[in-house]
Amino acid sequence: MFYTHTEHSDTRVMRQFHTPPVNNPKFDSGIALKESYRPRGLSGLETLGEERGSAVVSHAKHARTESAASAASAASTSSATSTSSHNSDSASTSAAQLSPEEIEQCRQGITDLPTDLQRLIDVFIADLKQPKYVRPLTITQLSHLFQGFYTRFDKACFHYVSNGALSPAQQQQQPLPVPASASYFSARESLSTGLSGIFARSRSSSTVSVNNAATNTNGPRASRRSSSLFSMESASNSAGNLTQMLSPEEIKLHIRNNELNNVRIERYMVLCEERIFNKLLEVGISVSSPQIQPPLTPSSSSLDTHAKHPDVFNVASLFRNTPEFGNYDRLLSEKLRCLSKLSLDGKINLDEFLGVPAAGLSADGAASSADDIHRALNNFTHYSVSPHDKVQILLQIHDLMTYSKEMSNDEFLSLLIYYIVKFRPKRLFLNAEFVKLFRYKKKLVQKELYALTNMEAALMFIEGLTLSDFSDELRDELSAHDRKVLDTKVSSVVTLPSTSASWNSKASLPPATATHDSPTHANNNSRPPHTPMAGPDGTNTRSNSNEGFRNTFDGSLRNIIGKIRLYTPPTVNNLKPLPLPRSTSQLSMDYDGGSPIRQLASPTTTSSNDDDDDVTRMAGPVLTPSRSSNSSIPGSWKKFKDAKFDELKIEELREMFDLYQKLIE
Amino acid sequence: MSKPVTSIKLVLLGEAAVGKSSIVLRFVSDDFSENKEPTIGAAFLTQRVNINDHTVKFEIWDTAGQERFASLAPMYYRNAQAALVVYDVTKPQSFIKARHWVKELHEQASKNIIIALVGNKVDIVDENEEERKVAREEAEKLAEEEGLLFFETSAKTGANINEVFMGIGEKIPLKGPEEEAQGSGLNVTDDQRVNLDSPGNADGPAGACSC
Repeated sequence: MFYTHTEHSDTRVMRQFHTPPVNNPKFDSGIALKESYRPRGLSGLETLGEERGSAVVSHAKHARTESAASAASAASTSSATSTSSHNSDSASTSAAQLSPEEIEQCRQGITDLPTDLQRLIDVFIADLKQPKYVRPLTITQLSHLFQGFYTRFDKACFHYVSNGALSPAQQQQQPLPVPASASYFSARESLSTGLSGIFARSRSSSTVSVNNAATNTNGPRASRRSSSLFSMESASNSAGNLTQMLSPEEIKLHIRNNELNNVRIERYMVLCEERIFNKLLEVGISVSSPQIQPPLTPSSSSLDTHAKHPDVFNVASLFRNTPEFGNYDRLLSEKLRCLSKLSLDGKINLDEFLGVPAAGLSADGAASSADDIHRALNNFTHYSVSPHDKVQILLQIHDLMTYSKEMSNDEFLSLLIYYIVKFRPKRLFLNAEFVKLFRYKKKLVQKELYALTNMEAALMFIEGLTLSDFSDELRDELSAHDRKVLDTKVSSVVTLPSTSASWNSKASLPPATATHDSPTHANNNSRPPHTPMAGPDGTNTRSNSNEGFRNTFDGSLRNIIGKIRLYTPPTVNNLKPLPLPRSTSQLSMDYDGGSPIRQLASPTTTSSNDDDDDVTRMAGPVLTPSRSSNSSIPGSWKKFKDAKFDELKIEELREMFDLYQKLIE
Repeated sequence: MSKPVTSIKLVLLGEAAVGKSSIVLRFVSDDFSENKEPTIGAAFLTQRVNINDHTVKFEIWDTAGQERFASLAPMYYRNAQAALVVYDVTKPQSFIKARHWVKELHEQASKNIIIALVGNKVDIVDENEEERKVAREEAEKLAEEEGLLFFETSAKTGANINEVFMGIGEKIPLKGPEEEAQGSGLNVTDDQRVNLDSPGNADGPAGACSC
């Protein structure tokens, strides 16, 4: 906050170095934040840290896949071996690099989310269940809420990890070979103030490096550097501008910590998805309000049979507000059933039709691997909950299909289609869509995205099969029903709402009846200007100002937690607005717009700006009932619109007060 | 390791059995690689290459080459920054198919996609020139007309394989990490991050006393 208005010569330098200069008082944190939040910086340490991190993460991911796969293939094993050998090579060249063992240890050390982070999830779910939307959310909007939450959760994790707020138990599990790691954390604890929180938001982890410096180099140099960061006074005092470079060792440690933190965050994100969806499984997704009774899709009629099974997670229930998906899935299943029957009856030769490689089916153990794939497909659709788990199963299916390291997608795709037709897992399409919509987008990349794309492609192929794809002889043999099923593409019957388009552009949410709490916060900026934002009960003021507060000052996670409310009671209506023109602080307080307090105050306020009229118009319809009943307001109530408070006379103030009194009636 | 890394989604197109996966396997198994990362058979691989001052990380997406699956290709080349259109110099049909792919990519793929036309299996031709069914000149002409990189390679001997990828890597605009991030889905848009300029945030401190 104190640095935001500095001149731009400094900020240009900052764009090149994302690690903030620790003792530069002119450092523009605002710019630094923005710069550092770019996924990839143009140069410098930032990029380096990120990249290394992602490499580590994919190593870890791979290890996990392997342990998850009940029958890990030779291919994946060998690639794992080469991975580790590579890493130990590099570890010997640079002491700061992490060995896979260390990473694995770090990853496995985290088995549950810290309480603070868990609470974020609980709040999110509680909020989801609030009956606050006029219309039921479509799947796209729901996905959007989730993605927004993931992003925020990611950030919170980053805070949590970089603030070193690890519980003692976890600290013991962290194999940090840095000798001074204990003092590292304690130093962190005592020094982390609001300002450091702001710095910590920048991914460049300036705080981490500073702490490394503080713990690893002796003498005044290091301590001065750290204090210049953490206390505002010394930051402004150290105008000497002594820029000290980090030593190579410090940089290594910095990188190393970044890596470990990335592993931790990755793990937390996985646990986050798990927890969210397990929790949803537990509490259900229905909203308590009677006004929201979404129509059940045909496919969810089978929900009852599975509902008895506590471990079965039915993704169909998530899609029920967007019946197109359900219909699509149903038609696809019908087509699958038909194809499967034809294949069993020997009317079509599936192997030949798909060009399934003979090696894929006749190889040793093909029968057992078919069983495994059958099981895995069922796991994918029925016995897995979180999107992360499901995508891991997709990878596992690919592993199971692998009979040779040299398999190209010619083989993978045809085999995949073959197995899908053969085993016809229920709600496959919905599950694939579920992964696509609810896996954290930032992590649904590379291998995971490829496996998912293959699954989608397989389903698209099946969906698009029509009679013209088969021989004429077959056409004559078909029963009327089968012919009908195979007559058209599913996609020509059911048009799915475009989900991909909204991945980048924000899907606008239906107007909320009550409060837009945290989950929709990400949308606030992009909301169309005329959407009524404020609910009649006026809880908006509180939640939104909390939002703002949080965004700026959530230096510590405790802070965040303290500010989120489960559900803000509509107390504002009962508060009597102060009979004074608003001071500037009040003005900014309800700048979020559309709050009733603002509505009531704006006619009498002495300050005026364009936004006022805008807001009035926006929230006008919502508030009409209460205001139209009040007919005794003099027509002159707008006369103070352009007045300045300092120039007002007592008389005018009194007049204004009278107006206010009438308004309040 | 201090070099900036650009990752590139590269999609492989070409008829079945023209040796798409062999080219890639040759490329990733060659020794100038630093990193071995997890794969899905030869269908999805990643490979890092140092080009000048940059590290380019290729994310290689294979597509199924069978004609039957041709309509699925857009799912794979969506957001790709580069494409390898492979044909077999001994099979004229594969070159016709390659022409189709080039046309389709120009029409439907990302605007600035870099396409390399690759005639594979030149080792066969080197042994016996009679086997050649696609004239080098013909392919060069196509490449010139369509603005493609062109290579004749042999996955078997390794001839020209690295050159293909280095050629693509050099043509990739390295200044565009943002575009690249979008392509691979890694993008985290600015508005998802903290923005101190937005009004909601600027009012933060005042909001604190709203209770």
